[in-house]
Amino acid sequence: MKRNTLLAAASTIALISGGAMAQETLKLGALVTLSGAGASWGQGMMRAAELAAEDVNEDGGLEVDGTKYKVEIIAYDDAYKANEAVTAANRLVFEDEVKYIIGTVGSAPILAIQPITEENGVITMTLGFTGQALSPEKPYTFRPNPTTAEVAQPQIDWIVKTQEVKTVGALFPKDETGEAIAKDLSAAYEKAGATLAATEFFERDRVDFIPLLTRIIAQGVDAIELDGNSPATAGQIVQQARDLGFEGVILRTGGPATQEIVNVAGEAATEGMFVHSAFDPGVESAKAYEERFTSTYNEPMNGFSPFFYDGTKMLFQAMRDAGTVEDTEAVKTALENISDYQGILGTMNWTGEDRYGIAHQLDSPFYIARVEGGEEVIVARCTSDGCE
Amino acid sequence: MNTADTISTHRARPANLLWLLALVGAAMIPWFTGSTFHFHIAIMVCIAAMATGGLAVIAWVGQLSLAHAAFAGVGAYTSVLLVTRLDVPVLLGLPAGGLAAGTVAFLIGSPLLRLRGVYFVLITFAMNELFRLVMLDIPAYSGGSSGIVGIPKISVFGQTLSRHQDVYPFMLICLVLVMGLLVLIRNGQLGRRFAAVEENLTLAESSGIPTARTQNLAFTIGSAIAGFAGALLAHYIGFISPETFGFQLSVSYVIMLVTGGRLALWGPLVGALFLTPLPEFLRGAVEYQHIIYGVVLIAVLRFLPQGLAGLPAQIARAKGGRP
Repeated sequence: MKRNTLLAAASTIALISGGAMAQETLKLGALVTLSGAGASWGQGMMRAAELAAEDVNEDGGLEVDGTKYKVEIIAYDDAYKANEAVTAANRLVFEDEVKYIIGTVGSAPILAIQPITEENGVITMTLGFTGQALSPEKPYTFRPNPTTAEVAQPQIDWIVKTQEVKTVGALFPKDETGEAIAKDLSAAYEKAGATLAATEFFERDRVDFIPLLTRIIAQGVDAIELDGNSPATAGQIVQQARDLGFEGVILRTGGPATQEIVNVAGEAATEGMFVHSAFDPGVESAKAYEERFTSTYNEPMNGFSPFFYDGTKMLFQAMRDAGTVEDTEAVKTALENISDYQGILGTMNWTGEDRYGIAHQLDSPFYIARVEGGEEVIVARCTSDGCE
Repeated sequence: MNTADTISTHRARPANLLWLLALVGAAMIPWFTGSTFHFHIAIMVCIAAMATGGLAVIAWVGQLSLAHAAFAGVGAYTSVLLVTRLDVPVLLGLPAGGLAAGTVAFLIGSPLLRLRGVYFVLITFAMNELFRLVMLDIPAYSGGSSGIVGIPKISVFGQTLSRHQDVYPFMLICLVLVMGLLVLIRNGQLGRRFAAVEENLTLAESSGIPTARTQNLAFTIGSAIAGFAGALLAHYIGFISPETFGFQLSVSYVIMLVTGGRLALWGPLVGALFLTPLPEFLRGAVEYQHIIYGVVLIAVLRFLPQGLAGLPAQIARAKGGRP
């Protein structure tokens, strides 16, 4: 309601001050998860797009080829479901006639909407971790956030080297995602000179991990890996492992979730844990974004949000470069050609040619942090080439 | 209100005609507006109405299945695997999906249908979960949790229906066929047997109706229709995963059936017509959509106990009641 009032006020002011230049509207779809599991990711993405739109609207709109466009975000909820996403995509593409979609959050939804978006030349920016999301046959899909595939190896190399880890135990949810991550991580540890010696699989809604952890700890592992588990589950695993007297290294090599884990397991249990972080509060622009986010929405920022802020900004830049908002093929090419983009998280470049066959994966800096007193303290800075 | 009542009253005939006209009118909407999105919604209504129609057949013998989504899933996976692995034409894959779902229902039906009321609901709920978990465990066939992508579109005699505008008439024909089957069953001897079983099982049994076989037949027919609808959904959306056919889909079919009218012939159609587009009106109201949806449902159930299909009769009764 408050936002509507604000919007109305903003548009009234825009009308009054509306000057010589005729203003057009550029509609951007936000097809994200806004209810149920995954809502915090979806909100982070939608708000990133809103804040990016706010930036250009403040300057009177996005100027492309002499025309100023007021950017409007149309947000629809897909509830993390493929069928819902298809209906929402149909509506965005055919009814609202958007040419750009921020979304989806989930892997299944992006795979389900791609037949519509790719065929109609609609550019999408997805969070979906599936490797199938990006391919040469899907030239209009981009992914602005790194996935496990991008970040796991350099971090594991660093941890194995510096912490002298030889054997690792891990628990994974018993589904395709969990099994895929288990396979990837096993290979990554092997490559780094360690072994993923003990693995256990469990149903996603399990809360008692004592039997599984007892088996893992009994095998004398040096470290326990949390990657692949939801934030709340990871928190429970940490707490129960420490309760059982496990004193080795606990680490999480993917997915920003530190705050949630600390909330569940407490400061004492998480002390000294190594986590993946995409966010360096030491970088001023990143810190400023987080403050802007929390003061605008009165909620903590999800770790994926900055990627989508940068991603949306890059999309705007591509429209300016291409000199069009209508011809998405030209915008797509301009977006591909952006290099060394100075985003709020650092310098961004497209990568992924080797892995996906198309360079539509954003490569951004990331970090290994050590949890001290419930807070992340960065101990190593990484790119996809390695950490130091 | 029982089944026999709804079909044999004198008022039923003009009311049915009225319904038919209203439904034909509603079916024409996408052509008037010409919007591709409206075609999409209309197609989703057709699929949901068919699946809910299947659930109605099961409801006619007094049982409520919460495994309906699983049967839709059996149909969807059967058709998709036949078409993608064995190069079977989609037009054959669709009925094969229905056949597979019907066969599974027939086999598990006779032990399951010994249970009644809430116990049958619970066991079918468990069956739906079992289906989902088993499918997640055999990624070689089901694609696991990442599902199967790039499912071929429906094609009729070598002509691929790639545009929404082309798919819709095909879906309408399927819907008419399914609804036609429902009308035939309802007005035939089988329908009377179903109604007798629903009304009073013991009495039906003592009148010489084989109640166990009758219930199993309804379960088989209803689940086969779900399988057919599931196959249509798979080929239209182009993506399926075990999660698509989860418990929530079963519940949404039940809600459509109850909202439309559990025992009314046109109930499934009216329920689907009302509830499929409803979230679209609310999709923009991101924060309140679920609350509004819930309130609308409660209002319908509170004020229209016979469902939306019972609305004209209720109005007529209210008018007749006036001096």
